[in-house]
Amino acid sequence: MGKSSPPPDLLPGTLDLLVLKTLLRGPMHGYGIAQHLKTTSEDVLQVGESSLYPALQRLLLNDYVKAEWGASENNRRARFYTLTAAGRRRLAAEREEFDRLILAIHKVLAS
Amino acid sequence: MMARLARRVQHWLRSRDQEAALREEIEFHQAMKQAELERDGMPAGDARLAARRAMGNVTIAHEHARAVWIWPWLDSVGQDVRYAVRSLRRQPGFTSMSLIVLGIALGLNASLFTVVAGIAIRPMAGVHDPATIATVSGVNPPGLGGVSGLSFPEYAFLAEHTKAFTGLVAARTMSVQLESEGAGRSTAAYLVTANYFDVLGVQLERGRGFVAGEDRRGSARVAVLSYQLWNTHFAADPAIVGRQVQINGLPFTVVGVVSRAFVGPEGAPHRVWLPLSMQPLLRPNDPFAAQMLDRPQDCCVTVTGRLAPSSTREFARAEIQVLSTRFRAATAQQDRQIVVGGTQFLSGRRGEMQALAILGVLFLGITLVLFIACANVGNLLLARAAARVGEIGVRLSLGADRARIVRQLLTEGFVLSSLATGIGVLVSKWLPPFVLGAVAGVARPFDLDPDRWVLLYALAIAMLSCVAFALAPALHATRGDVASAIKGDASGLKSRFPLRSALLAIQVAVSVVLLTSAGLLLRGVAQARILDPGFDVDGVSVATIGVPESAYDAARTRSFMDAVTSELRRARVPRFAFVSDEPLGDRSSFTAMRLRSESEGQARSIEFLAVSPGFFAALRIPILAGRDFIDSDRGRNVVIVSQSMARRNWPAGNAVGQSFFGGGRQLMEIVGVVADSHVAGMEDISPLLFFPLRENPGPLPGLVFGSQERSTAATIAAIVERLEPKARVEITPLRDRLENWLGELALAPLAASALGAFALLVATVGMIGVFSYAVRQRTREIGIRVALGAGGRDVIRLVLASSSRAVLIGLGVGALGAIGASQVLRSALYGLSPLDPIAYGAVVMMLATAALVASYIPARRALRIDPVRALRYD
Repeated sequence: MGKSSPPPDLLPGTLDLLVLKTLLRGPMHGYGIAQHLKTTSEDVLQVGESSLYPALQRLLLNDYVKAEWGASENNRRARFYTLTAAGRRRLAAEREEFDRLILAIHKVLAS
Repeated sequence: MMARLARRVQHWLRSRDQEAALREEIEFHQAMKQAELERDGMPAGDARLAARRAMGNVTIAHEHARAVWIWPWLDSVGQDVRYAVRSLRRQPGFTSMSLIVLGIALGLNASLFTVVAGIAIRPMAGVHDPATIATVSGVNPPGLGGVSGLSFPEYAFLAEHTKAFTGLVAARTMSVQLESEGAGRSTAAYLVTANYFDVLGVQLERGRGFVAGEDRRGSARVAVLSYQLWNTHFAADPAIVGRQVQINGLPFTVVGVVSRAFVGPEGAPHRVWLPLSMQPLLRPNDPFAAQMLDRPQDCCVTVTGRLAPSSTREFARAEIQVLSTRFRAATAQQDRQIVVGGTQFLSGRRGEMQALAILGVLFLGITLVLFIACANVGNLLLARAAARVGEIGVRLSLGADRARIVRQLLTEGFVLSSLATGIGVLVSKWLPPFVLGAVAGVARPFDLDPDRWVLLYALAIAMLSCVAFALAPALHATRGDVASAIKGDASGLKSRFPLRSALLAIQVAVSVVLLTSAGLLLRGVAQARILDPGFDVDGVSVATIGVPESAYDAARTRSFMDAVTSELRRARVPRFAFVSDEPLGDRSSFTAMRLRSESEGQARSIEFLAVSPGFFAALRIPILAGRDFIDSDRGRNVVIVSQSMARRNWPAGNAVGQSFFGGGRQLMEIVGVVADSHVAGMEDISPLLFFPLRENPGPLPGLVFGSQERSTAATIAAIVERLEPKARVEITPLRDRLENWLGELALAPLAASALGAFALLVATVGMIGVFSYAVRQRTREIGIRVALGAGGRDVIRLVLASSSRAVLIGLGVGALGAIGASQVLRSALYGLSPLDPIAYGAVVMMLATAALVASYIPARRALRIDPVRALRYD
């Protein structure tokens, strides 16, 4: 076991949350997701592919996203990921959980 | 959970596509990155390298992505299976023993299922659309119980008026003699209405079925043969259609042969089909056969029909009920409830309920054995789980998922039961044809090949037994408190969890029940052997005389008997007489009787024999009061009763001279009382009537005579054959018949003993398992004791004491169960007490011995332990 854990550059599970949030904007390919995370976090979150693609596979396995082939902006074949209904629910739940966690951490740090 | 599994499997099946997709996706990502860097002004070559660098190791990314889907899952399952096999191999003896035992138990279970499926569950074969065929029968009054067919006139009325059925057929079983069969042999014939083959849509191998009108009186004599009869009796003659066969001495023309699959709606194989109207011709001497087609109160024909397309069984039942009520009111009979059932063998007719009961008891026994075999496996797994408490504790404390560990332990059970299923299926393929063919002497009338249902069934019970018996140990082992578990201390679990002891007690109890039943049945046979039949067995023989029945009406039968009688007298054959149903034969006759003071509604059924004068002297049955029949009784309604009959109805001892209503409702006068005997059957003695044979004509009776000499037999055969050249005579000493009967009687106890012995073996294996476990658990203690000078006997006592309570409880519960079971077996015990001390004592001895053996084996191993090593065990 332990073979599949992503490099610990993020809190475990956070990447899934971020990917789901990103996909809320609409279908996006893997590179697009990485770019979005990078730009919106102002280059703080540099997601390596070795953790992004396993995360996407994990989301596929749990039926939180679905994947379809389409044409990218420069007309190459790319795989676009779309949020499913289950994914939306998951996002809501994870977000709540995450907020609780962050709040808790803040409280500890502020004490 | 299931959806996730499905997606995993789907992904795995399409893994090559998925791999390609992933690769393409990552390449795309790389290209985009490169383009981005180039846009930022990096030279193309550097940009590619930088993109690569930024990507990290593509192969690892790949691996990681793929791992999400397959690896942890498939790999861990494989790991579990490998681990299970490896750890089972570490205890090869006990594993293979448990495996064989479980396999055989599963096989027994699947075998029985095969037989039940073959006989009872599969729909009728060889007909058109069996699902729309239904049987019609009536529920008997409470006194008689069960259901029976309808009278022929009632059938005819229903067939004419029903709309729920597109056709109704009537049929009746009769045994007939084919031309080449010897005396005493007969063939099961099915006498049917002419629409039989059309309504049922019977598939024919050759020729045709009956056509309309062929069941009318005086029509041509036609016959349809079974596939089996055509093959065995007529060597599959291709020109069979049109050929003449002699049946009961009458020529019949074969018009068809049914397909191999068709055995008739009764389930029991019939071998020849004849028109129903042939009954009086085949048996001119049987007044019942002549009248039954016209008498609404006579019982009965089996009625089967084809449901109309719009009809259901419920609807048909309602309609037939209304019609039946109308018919019975018109013929002054009591109304009764109608049942419409399926065509399966076990759809509730009387003899079949008996078969169902036997199968039920057998099923119970076999299921119990399966149960203890499963308990064995459970104990094996429990012992192994306990041995691994330390390891499991460490894993749990390191954060291992409990579900994951439970799954691994379940996998072991799964591996065991899968292997056992293989053995079981082999057993079930081989056993039923062997038992039915070799032991019970039944040719394969049914399809007994294990089909996918049997396989499914075997698999299902194997899986169930695995889950039931592996889950508890698995949950148990992972529940322990981590701290003591890490120390490898399983004793903390023991006191809280007597599962192992409970399983052991169950095994012992089940073995006691099965063994005691087997023992009682065996003792019952021994009892039957010393049973006094109440008549002379050693100096008497029986001659069965076969004549073409159709040629013998009442008058000719009578004159033939007279001629034989005077010839035998002249030849000085000692003590001979005719009897309707031969002693120790397979036929018995019943009639209705009531006392003068009783109303017609109180009439009851009673067994009778019709005998000629001299019968009691021939069999040396004492006449206690009154006299034997004499020639001057001719024309009078006289009867002789058995002692129990006399005692029950005339306790004052004045039976002779009394009269009662019997047979055809006339008043009969008692002229004699004879001692009770088993002349009508070896079962419990019940009241019996004897009628004078002359006044009660029937098919040609058997002849008993007081000699076992071959020369006498030859004289009789010669006399009979001189008087009737077509007659065939078969003479057997009564002693031989008795031995035959005892031999057949021993079959069931032998089967029960085999099952009991198997149960004992299983229980012993179970005990060895439990005791080995006890020894392993107390290795240290034993080591200390041995070091301090304890001997082998002390160690065995120690081991035995560890589980003696479970064994004792098992013995007690088993004994109670056996007492319950013995009440059911009472009728097969031939007077033996159901609490027979020898049977019970023997079983207790056997189990005690088994327990000793089972404790000796591991104890001996424990004795060989080097005390120093044992002390250092922790």
